[in-house]
Amino acid sequence: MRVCLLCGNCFLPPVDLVRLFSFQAFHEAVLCPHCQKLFQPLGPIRCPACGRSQQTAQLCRDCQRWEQIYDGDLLVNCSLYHYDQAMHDLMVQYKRYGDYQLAQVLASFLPPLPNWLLVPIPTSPEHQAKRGFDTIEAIFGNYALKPLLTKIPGQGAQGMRSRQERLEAEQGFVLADVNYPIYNRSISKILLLDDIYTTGRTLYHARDCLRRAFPSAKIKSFTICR
Amino acid sequence: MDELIGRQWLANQEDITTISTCEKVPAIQADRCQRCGSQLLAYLPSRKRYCRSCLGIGRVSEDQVLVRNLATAVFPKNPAPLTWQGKLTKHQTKISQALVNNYHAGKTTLVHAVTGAGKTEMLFPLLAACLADGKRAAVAAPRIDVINELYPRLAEAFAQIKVGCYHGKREAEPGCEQLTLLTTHQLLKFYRAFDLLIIDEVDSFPYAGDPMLHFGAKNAVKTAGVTVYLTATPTSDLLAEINQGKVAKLTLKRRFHGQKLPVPREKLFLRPYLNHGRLNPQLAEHISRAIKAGHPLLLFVPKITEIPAYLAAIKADPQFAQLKLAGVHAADPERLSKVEAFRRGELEILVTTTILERGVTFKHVWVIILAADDRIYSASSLVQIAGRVGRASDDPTGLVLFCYHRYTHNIRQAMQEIQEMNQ
Ligand SMILES: [Zn+2]
Ligand SMILES: [Zn+2]
Ligand SMILES: [Zn+2]
Repeated sequence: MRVCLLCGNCFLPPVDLVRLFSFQAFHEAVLCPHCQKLFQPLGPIRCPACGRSQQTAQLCRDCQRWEQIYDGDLLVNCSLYHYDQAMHDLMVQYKRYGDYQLAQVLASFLPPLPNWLLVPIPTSPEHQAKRGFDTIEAIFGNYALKPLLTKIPGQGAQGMRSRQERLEAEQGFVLADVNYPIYNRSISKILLLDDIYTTGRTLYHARDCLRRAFPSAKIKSFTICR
Repeated sequence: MDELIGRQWLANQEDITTISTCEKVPAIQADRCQRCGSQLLAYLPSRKRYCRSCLGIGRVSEDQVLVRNLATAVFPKNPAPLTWQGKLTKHQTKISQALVNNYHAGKTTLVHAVTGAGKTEMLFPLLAACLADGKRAAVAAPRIDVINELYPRLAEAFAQIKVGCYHGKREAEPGCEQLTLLTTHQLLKFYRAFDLLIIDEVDSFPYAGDPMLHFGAKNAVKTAGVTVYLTATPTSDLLAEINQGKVAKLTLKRRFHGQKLPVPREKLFLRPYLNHGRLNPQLAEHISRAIKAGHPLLLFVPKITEIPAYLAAIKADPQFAQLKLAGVHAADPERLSKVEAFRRGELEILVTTTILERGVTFKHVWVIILAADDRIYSASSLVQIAGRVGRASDDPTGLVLFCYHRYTHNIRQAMQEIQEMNQ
């Protein structure tokens, strides 16, 4: 018997034969079947760039904008779940209220990630100090992360801003310690990691920043929800 | 610091507040959160524990202290704080007098009053007795809507008294008002503050069944203070305390207009309520009767996702083609305007979830509950929904229809309670 991390009810973890015999990273069930069903995976038809699920497989409006701004150099993103009410409530509980244990719930959603250089999107040092943990690193803690980006201090939280304010936000990242041994030319593939893809602004900024250090690397992103 | 009297708040261990009337306790002690009483603790990366139960009002962690201001608030004595001019009915007066007596005797009391009994007015003499003495009182309820509705009424009834109002959707600086209105969650921010604490709708979510909110309520009242619980359906924990003699019980069986509660009709359905998008003919017949009799109809369905299907099925039925209808649920941005339109008679049918189960009054309304056997309806929900009907003195009866496939314990209990109150 286990105790569900969301509702507190006891449940028997399902025996999943496919998982048992696969080489995938095995996540222990932390949610009861009822709570697991609250979260909706994204549908099969998606925007080819940002991964938003939609009616047709064409570029979504956000990405058409990015296509213009970046002259066709779109960031390819992969997400797993809808950012719906259930996911929103989970994120509020985790990020705003600081329920650290929910990092395990979000981690249980993760697929196996490719063997690329994994760069988490940093949170502001002020918030990290207040919460006592880094919201992104806590979710992806089972992977070897390379925290190459630092947040410029003094900028407010994304969640507090309107959509327009987010789109107009200034570049918020700088490269961490430039003498880091990882800065060698052999790095060819980088995966940016974040929790939510909202407008794409944050991830495009992060890519801009990394491009300067790794001009020839292929950079994609992964977020839990879109 | 007078505005913080009777409150408790979180501070770092190094906090140097030196108010002589404040005590400091470790926020987590003996494996228990000292603010909410919960043992649902988890570790932070620092290996310090935090409380997962009361996160919503600020995270409690092991490296913090709770600062409690134990000073006694002093208010001037005031022989006649009640400025309300209305009159209580005979039944209301009896209960209200008993409440004042129990307050002076220091007795915790449960008032079991039928829906539509006029509870708020009954509380006025009790609150007046407390405030006249220069003592501090609070009225708490689980839901924000109820607090928002009570606030102007109490502020008007006690025009010379400072009234505070606190809930999660309202920005208000802490103050030390003689009369405080607040949600049961906000009670966790108070410690030994009130001489009198009245908790309305104790049978309602989220207070019912949440040990954290019960713990907060016990802490918020002074050691020698008095608590009064109000409900239309007493919960089992309170009934147990009544049986142990810890809580006195007062019962008010008549609505303010003196009439009995409408007794729900129970209807077994063998076939689904909807079949391939069409209304079950028996269900259509009941809807049609309500409409022909000129009554606005509330149709309760268990799930938000079922609302569109019912709306479509009603519209598809030729006999209802002319009707104006809408659906409403908790997350609906147009919720308030739809409820207002229904109240003004601009909609004939409103399909709703349990959000309209209590706290709302619609003149002449009739009610049909689809799938009254669904798990979402507790006995107290069913009693509350039935209580929407017959609230006006010129129209004290009406249709309440419990539709079910399977007779449940909750339906039986709701029926029993209504019948008991009608004896
Ligand atoms: Zn669960
Ligand atoms: Zn897109
Ligand atoms: Zn707590």
